Amino acid sequence: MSDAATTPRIVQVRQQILKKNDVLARDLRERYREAGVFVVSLVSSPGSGKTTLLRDTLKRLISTYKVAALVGDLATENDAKKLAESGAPVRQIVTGTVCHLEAEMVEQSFTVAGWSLADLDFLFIENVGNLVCPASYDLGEDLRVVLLSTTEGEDKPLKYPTIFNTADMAIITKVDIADAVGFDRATALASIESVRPGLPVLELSSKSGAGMDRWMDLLQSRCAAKRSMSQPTLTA
Amino acid sequence: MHELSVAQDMVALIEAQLLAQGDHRVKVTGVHLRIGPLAGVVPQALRFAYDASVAGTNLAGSTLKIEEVAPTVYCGACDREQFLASISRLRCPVCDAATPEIVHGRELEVVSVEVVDV
Repeated sequence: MSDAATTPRIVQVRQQILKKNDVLARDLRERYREAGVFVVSLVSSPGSGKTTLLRDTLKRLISTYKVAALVGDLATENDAKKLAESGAPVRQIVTGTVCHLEAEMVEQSFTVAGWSLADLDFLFIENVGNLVCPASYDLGEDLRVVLLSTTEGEDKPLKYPTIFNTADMAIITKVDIADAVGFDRATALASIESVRPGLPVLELSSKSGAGMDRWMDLLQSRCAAKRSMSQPTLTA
Repeated sequence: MHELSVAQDMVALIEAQLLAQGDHRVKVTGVHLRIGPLAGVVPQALRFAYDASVAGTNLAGSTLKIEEVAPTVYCGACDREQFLASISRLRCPVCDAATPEIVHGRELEVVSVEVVDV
């Protein structure tokens, strides 16, 4: 073999590695759009109040809307049981050792459950409690919400910039005990603004109900907006 | 943690690209990646996963070169792109305006591969 044949050469590729998950997430996003279901995912560290907030959200929506929820945990069905107190259809995704939900797990879960997406107004997905890995896994959702509780420390966003940067909004939870734990609201909001300028922030307490009405209004108007965008335009 | 599956997806992308270019009778001797701090991938972890992922493929034995992308934002006030020291503070280093628009930093890109014909 001549030297020329074994001389290394460079082949330009210039392509973003599109993970298998991202391809599936795109498909799911399209399916959700066609079905007219508004999909919300919740991410946070363990203990920020995702399950409590979701349970109360489901309770408030269920009288007017068709809602369902998926929740991921490494072990136990405890969260699903708690969410089911709302009366909504709920499924637990037990991940074993996997620290985040992936699009495939979500799809498998609602498929096995036999849920018809077209019959749903809202699908909520509660991710595994983890501020790191979920940032890398698109689930096809319309709204990704990152939760930060008043007990967690005001610099959490600075420590986990990627998850805050890839979220669509933030919710500060447990505001009812903010004073008791010495929560510095201005610093927390500044941290969020630092890693993601302009990220909308809601502050609420599931326990006291403070701020829950604004959360409901936001969900309902976002859901309606998505629906109206999918309507075929009428021509005269 | 999930860098193993990212490495596997990278191998699949390279093999598909070489096939599409009619270059499948080559051995890959090097891979050049660009990774930004917001890609959600830790370069060191990807290095760990790399050897396991390329074993048994025509990338086996290849060298991985990772170029870490400096985060760059667009500043509307300055009307230009600015490098950032860190992704923890998305503000213009020159005029301190908030700069949410990220121009570079999310890359997880295969720039090129080095091949030898076989």
